[in-house]
Amino acid sequence: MSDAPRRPARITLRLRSTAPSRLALQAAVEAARALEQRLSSVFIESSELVSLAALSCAREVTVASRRGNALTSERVEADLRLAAASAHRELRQLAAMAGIDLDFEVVRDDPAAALERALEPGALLALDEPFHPGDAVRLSHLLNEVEEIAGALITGPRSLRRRGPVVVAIEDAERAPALLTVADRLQTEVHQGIVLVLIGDTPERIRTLHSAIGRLPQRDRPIEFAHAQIARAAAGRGSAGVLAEAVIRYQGSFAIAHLGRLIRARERELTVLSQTLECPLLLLK
Amino acid sequence: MLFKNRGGPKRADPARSTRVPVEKLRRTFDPSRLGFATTAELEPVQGLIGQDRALRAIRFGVSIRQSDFNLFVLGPPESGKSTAVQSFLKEKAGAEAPPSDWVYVNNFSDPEKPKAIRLPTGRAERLARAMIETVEELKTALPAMFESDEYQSRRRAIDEQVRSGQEGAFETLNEHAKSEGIALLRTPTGFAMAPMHEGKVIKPEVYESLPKETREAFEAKIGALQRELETILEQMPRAQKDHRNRLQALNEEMAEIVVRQAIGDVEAEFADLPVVTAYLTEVRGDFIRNVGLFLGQGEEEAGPQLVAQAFDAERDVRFRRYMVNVMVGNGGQNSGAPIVDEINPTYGNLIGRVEHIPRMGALLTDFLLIRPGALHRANGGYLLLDARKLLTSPYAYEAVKRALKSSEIKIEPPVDGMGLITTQSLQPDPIPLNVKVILFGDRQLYYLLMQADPDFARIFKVQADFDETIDRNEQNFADYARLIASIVAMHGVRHVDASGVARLIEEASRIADDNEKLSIEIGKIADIVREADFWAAEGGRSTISRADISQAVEEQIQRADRARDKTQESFAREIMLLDVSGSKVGQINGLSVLSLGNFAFGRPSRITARVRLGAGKVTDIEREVELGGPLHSKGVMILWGYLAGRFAEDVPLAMAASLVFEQSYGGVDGDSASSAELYALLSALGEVPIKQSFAVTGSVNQLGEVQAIGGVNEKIEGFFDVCKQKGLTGEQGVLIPMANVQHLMLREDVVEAASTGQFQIHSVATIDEGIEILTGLPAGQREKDGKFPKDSVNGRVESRLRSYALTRHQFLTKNDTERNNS
Repeated sequence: MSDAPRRPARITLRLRSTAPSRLALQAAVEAARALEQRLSSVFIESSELVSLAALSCAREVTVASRRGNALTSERVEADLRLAAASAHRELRQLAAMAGIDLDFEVVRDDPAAALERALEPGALLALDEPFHPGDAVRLSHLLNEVEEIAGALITGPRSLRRRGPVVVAIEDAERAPALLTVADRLQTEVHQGIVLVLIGDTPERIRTLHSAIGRLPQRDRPIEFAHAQIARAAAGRGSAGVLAEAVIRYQGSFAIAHLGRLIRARERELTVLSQTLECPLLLLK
Repeated sequence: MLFKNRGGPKRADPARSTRVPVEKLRRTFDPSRLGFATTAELEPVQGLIGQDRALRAIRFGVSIRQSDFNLFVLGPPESGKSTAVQSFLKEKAGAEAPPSDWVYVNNFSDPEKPKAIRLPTGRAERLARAMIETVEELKTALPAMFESDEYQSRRRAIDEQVRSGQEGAFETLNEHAKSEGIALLRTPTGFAMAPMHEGKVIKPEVYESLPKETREAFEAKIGALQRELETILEQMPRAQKDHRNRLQALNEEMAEIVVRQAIGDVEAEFADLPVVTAYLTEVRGDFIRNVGLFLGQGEEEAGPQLVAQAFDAERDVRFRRYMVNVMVGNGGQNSGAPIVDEINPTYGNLIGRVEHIPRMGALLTDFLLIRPGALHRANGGYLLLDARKLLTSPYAYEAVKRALKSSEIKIEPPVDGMGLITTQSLQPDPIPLNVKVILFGDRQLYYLLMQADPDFARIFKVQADFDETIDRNEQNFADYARLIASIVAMHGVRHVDASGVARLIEEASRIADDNEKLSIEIGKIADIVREADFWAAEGGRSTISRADISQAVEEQIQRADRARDKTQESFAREIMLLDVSGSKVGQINGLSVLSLGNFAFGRPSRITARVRLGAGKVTDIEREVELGGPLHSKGVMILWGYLAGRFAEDVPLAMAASLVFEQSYGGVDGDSASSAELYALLSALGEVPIKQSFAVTGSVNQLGEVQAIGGVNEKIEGFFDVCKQKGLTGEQGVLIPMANVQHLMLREDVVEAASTGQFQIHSVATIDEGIEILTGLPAGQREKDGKFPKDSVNGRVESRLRSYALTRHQFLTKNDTERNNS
């Protein structure tokens, strides 16, 4: 069954008590601008952390001092307020520069539950820090639990590039229209064209993919194929590795992939992908 | 008023006529002698004409290869000295080998002391270009290398090792904490630990209800975990440092491969130059150490940005350290030694400067902001400077001397020598100097420097002395015509026909104030030619002719003669009293010259003399009121000597006289009016009227010989203009010294008046000749009895003086008798 081409209805940025990554914030803002969406940010104060601080035996080791101290509720409350204000300020500046609308909400709850509540149907989840190995399982769980979520925007520690073509990994012709619609919006923003990376287990599979995409009805393929670069890649080393290589080779400024296959990839592969990504990665459901 | 004197006396020929023939009033030039129709037929002259002495000095000065044999070319302004020297040098320098190129490069071990490198001619630009190309190549090759699969996989391996080590430690700790029933949570500033129950952080009230032993056990576990966590965090910086070191080693290994290839071609090209090879070795090391510059990283390490835009290697601040600053590059020039004419010889323009760029309130610089001076450009060749400009530019003269004495160019801010605080600056390597400096100036400046500055004589050993004039001879006429042809070519004006050239030759004599010389004040001649070109254009003529030259000269005079007009007007309105007819005792017309800027004109003045019995004194009223200069006073004293020697050898000179320039309110100097004053005295003593239709100029000595003076043409013309205004009678004229006949180059209207008998010019050699013309009486010579003829002027004077002496004797005798009787 073919998904109707659509674009995410809203981008929801998850913010937590730890300082957000500047790269992640920029990626979320740029995606919102390119997709002409409102950016909803939700700062989640972990209720568990607040409870923990009330315990007389609770201890904290700070990264700066590398020494343990007793923890108090008052200090945790104050630190959380400061962290939220700091994240809001930084995000507000970026949004103003990009000219997008921004919502900022602070909630105190269990982090997973709070995020689930914040994600509306059709929303695109943007993570606040470089993808972490532990995120793979949690992200998978979240995306499976929240049926109507559109996808996730993740960055790695090296996702610096902001100019270059949009690199789209296509492993399934049926999923292609959705990916291409988003890619078309993004490339309008960066003006650097689109590279389609056709990924298949065998050359035959890749040829089939190529033919199928070429036969897509006009309404399903907003981009003009004559102007798109088409690369072929064998998936011997896994889809994630192929996509990472394609981003490096074609100097991509955004990568787009179908969530299904990549998210089923081995956790280690996905981690390597996030660590080597030189641009933000949009995983669409 | 200035009365000039020059030349020596000449003996009079008793039989000669004193009236100067018309043909001697203005030395004209026959165009047919030139042998061409227009200057289009002539080869423009390149260089000097009629300046053999100066030419020899220049040839010697520029040929001797000693650093202290520099030249001072002295002579009048606008005489074409610079053009002539440049023309001479062009030929000589063209045959010489072009000098070496010089560049400044970064000193990687001490960036504040840029290195100077000498390169064979024409190779500096190539080295600079090669470095730009190398950087451009590395800008693509290095990122490509660092994006290659090989690099990425090796880097990932290092990253992964380090990361897995850190993450593994945290994961292990997390698992350990879970197994101990302890939750490990992130806080805004670090990690927090607390007991768990059923996977959740235990509630405070539950925790407090636990038995004390249980709580103590939890606290012990938390304490142990805390120490583990502290250990992990303490190891992080070390791990990160190790990570950086391993990455650096990997980066250098990979960069070495690319850099070796990129710079290899440059090293091969300059392998014959060890100093360049050594520099390239340093560059190679720096490329490798700072590979991050090429990967869009490390911009902070590149130092403050001096250039805002960074689109190419030349302007990208990150790569400035690898650029080459070409101070002297002779690749683009014609072969030969350089000739540099620095028209604005300031300190910086001569020695070079280190420029600065403001950045965040500070002034920053680097070796690429070192700018060459004229000494750099002229190194190995010739540097031409105007001496007056050099001396009036602060620090410039001393800097040039310092460079010549030390034979090196050392760029340093001039304020360093004053001990003032400067902003950040550089100490570039000095560059060896081998230059011939040629200064241009006037004689006064030259002699002043010789007297006041001992260094000057030691450094500028050769003087090339340009004369203001050259002789009027056939060779110089031909050369002068070619000189005019070169003026025509230089200024792109119409060619001058033979009549125009002849008129210019006449004007050159007039400028020289000498009908046997030609002025070589080329600037003045060129101005006349250019103005004549304008008038030729106005008249629709294709060549410049005599009429155009004459009009140009007249127009020049008209533009400048407002003062002369005012003077003439004052005579016409009899504000200034001057008789040009009739006869008066003790009154004569003297002549003076007024110089206003570059225009001079003659002005007549009434001089009067009064005599009486006295104790032997001539009172110079000008001197008494301090309006007379020393030369004028000297002239008056000479009169006394003449009178005493001629008329009072055996009797006391019992007279008193006073002399005055009537209506003179400014200073008077010079002795050119001394003959006129003597005539006035003789007139007063002999009671012989002087014809007021004459004016007189000339100095006199004690023997009564009339001597040459300056400005003779302007003086004659000045009196002529007054007479013309009042009406020419044919009786009017001027007496000039005979020695000045050779200087006559009178205006054509004066010559015309003389030729029709309306105006006279007499040359006199002695006072006797002059007094006869002025009085119409014989001067008188002593006869056998030792006396002058009674009716002669001298006889009357002698008679008067003897009468004074007798009267004075009688007066004194009577007084003595009365005193004795009393």
